[in-house]
Amino acid sequence: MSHDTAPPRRRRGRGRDGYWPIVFLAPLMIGVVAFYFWPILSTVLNSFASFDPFGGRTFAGLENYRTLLGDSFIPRAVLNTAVYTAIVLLGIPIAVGVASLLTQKGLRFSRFYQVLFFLPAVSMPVAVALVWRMIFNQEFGVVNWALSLVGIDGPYWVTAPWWSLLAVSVVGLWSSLPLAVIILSAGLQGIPRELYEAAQLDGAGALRQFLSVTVPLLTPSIFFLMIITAINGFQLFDLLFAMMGQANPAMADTQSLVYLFYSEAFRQHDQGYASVIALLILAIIGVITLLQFRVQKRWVHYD
Amino acid sequence: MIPRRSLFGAAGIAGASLLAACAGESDVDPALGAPAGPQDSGAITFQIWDKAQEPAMQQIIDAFREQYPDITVTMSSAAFATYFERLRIQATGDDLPDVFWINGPNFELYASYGMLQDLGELEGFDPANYPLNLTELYTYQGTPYASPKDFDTIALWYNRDLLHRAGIDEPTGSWSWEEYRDASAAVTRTLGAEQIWGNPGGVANQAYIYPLIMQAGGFILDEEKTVSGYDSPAAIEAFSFLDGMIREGTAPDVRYTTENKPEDLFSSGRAALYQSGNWQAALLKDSPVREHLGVAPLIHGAEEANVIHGIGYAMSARSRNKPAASAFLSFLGSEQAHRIQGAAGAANPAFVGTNDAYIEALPEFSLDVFVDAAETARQYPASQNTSAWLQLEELLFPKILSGDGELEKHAQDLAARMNGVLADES
Repeated sequence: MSHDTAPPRRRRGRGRDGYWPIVFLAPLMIGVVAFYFWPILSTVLNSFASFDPFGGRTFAGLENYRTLLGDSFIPRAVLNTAVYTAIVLLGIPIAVGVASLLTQKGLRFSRFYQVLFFLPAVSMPVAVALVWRMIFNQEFGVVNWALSLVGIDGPYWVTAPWWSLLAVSVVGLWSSLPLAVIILSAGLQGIPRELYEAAQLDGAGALRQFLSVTVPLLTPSIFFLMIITAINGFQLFDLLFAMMGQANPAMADTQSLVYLFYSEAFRQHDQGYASVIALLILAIIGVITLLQFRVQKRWVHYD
Repeated sequence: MIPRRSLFGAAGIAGASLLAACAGESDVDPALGAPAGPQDSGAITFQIWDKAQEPAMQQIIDAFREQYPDITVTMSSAAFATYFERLRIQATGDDLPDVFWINGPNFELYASYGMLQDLGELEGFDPANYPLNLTELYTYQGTPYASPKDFDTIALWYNRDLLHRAGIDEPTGSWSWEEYRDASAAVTRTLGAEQIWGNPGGVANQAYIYPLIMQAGGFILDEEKTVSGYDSPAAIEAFSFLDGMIREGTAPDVRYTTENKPEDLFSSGRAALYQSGNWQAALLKDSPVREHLGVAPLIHGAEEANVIHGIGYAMSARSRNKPAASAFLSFLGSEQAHRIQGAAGAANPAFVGTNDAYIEALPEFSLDVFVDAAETARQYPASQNTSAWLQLEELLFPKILSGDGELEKHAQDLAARMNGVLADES
């Protein structure tokens, strides 16, 4: 009989708690509304507006969207951003290798290596960019010096189109490694030892163990990393801005979408058009994330 | 990390619109009224962007307070890189400082949106006290809105040691384009093996590209501020002249100068001729090659043309203490204040006849060349939304001179984009 009264009891229960759940959730919800929903909504509204430099708005209809279609900088920026993201994604296999080496049993100084690999994550992005700019310097840089030892005349890494994108991507890959290594190390430590013991008993060597036990059980972590790396990739700005500098002949061909957003909003004083670019970035990231979730069913192993 | 970056965009826009909503339409009393007297008291704010000039500005404030002991002036300085971003937010939030520095590229934006106080009635302010072109730069629709603070013009800096080693006589008067090119070529030919260039190239707009286009008979911006001059034959001629020296190997190419700034090449003795402004004096006086440096008048083409620019002192139209602000602003524009900044070596003062102290601070650089150039120099090109097309210059000047064989196409691209920006101005 008692289970018949369960639903009313639950209703009574809510009454007993009163409004406390709402009170406890309110700070979070206010934050979410103020810092997530309101900015998105206001960006959408702003995309239909024309701005004067001091914030005055007038309705502009689809004008900003028409500008987007006619802007020759946009296709190149989409391509640049996609190439950058693709290269940075290549860091994930590298991170898998690094993480499995770092979590090897009996590795000496493993803490030291972990700190070493985490350093890029705690360095200032602009400082990182400036140091790499020196490393890539055509005349005095270490990279071209090394190339000259094998008789190669190195290119202008940060001032020639494509080379500059490659240079920025390599640094992006390098600075995305720490987070990936940390997440993958955690994933590796969650793999039960027994599985390796069982595999060993079945006669699997180190490589076979890696491919048949480690990688499949890491796929949830890898999937998570692919999602956040792709999102970060499409938000390329600070590295590009600091590594390329001003008066760079390659900049017009190396701009990223967020760089275009920045110049429209803060240099051209055109916040309406900048909002459209922001929405374009949001849409691209949305589609890519959705696609990744669709495809994940085929390759991600949960348990 | 993810939320921070994605919020950067959206929150910036939302923040600006929130500020706009808060600002509303406050009533502005355009009248200036009488300035404060020596017995009056009050407090005003003063904002600048150059830390190096802070001591000189403080000396001026101290001199002002000898006359107005009860008026407090609070000075703040922001880095130039973010100064105008900050000023725009202050203006949007109706919180501009009472008195502040402004420059040519930003002047019209603030004047045309009613942010600046009309100085026509300001006691003791006479536009005739400053070089005519500078006064015009800070005049919008016939009304003066800022008091010129200092000025810079362009001349030819040279390294007489490098010229001598290449067998070139140092310039006494103004060289023609050809003389400049030939001298550059001779130096590069003779000393190129030591990685020394005749001139260090580069894409400096005010110091290099503007004056050359004007000398070829062209313009950057037409009188009505509706048309860009970058696709005109004169502009193409000037670009081709610079491109030609890069192609011949006389000057380093733009990829090289992006990594090795022209001013660094010159100040480290790796370039012989450097066309730039008097603002370089501050850098060059500490250069290892200081003793070899000299200044000659700017080179000349079909026409003589130089570009003049300078900072202005402006007052907020919404200042809450206009009497005190006007008293301070008239003092800033006075001969006494200009003499103070000149003697402090802070900048070349704009008040006509007060340059001596600045020139004498570095006698071997003959800085009087820059002062003489002011008489015939043209106004720095600026329109309402100058920063928008300055950014286009920054993107496309290096492409125009990149030597990819499409100089004219890139120049037309720049002109078309700039025309679009100009058409959007109100």
